[in-house]
Amino acid sequence: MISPEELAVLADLYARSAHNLDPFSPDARQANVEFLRKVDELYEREDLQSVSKSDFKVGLIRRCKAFLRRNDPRLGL
Amino acid sequence: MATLADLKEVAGHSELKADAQLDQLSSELRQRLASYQDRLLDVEGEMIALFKLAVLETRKIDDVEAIAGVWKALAELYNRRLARVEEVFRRHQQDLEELGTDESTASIPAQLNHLTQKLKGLRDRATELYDLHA
Repeated sequence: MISPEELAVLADLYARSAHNLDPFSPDARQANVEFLRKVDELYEREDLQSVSKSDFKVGLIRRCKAFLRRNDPRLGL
Repeated sequence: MATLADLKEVAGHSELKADAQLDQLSSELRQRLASYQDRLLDVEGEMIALFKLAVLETRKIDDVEAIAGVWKALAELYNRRLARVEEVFRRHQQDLEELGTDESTASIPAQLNHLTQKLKGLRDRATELYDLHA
């Protein structure tokens, strides 16, 4: 189970990576790495046998986008 | 009957004409290279603008697979541009080396190198964003 706090952290990392308009931003690349590391961590912790890691990640991205839309319309657009 | 002085005059004219033609060729080549420099800046600007547009568009999309598709297409586009720039660089290397000492053209190899690095950076970032959503 992903807590609201964890989702907020993930959404922030996702936005810093995927919503960054600067293609050469070191922060965007760092956030990308941290987001994927967090996804790995959560996938291990949740121990979901029936869901592939890729599907788990896609599911989390959807939730991040929904979170951003709800909490920061500017970021969620 | 032509005198030696006449022949010298003709030879002199011929030499001047040849020099003028060479100058003109060199000037044309320099003009082409100058417009080429402008084009290099245009390409860089266009490629960065495309990246920004893709970020703005993908923010609005909920379908994660579709987002991956956008980044994949952009990474492929950057790769094609990169291959083209490298091909042009190879093709014009001799011209560039010959004109390398002139201040108007000496910066072209550096500009091509700069554009290559920028395109590699754009391609890598687009690939990273594809991997993130794939």
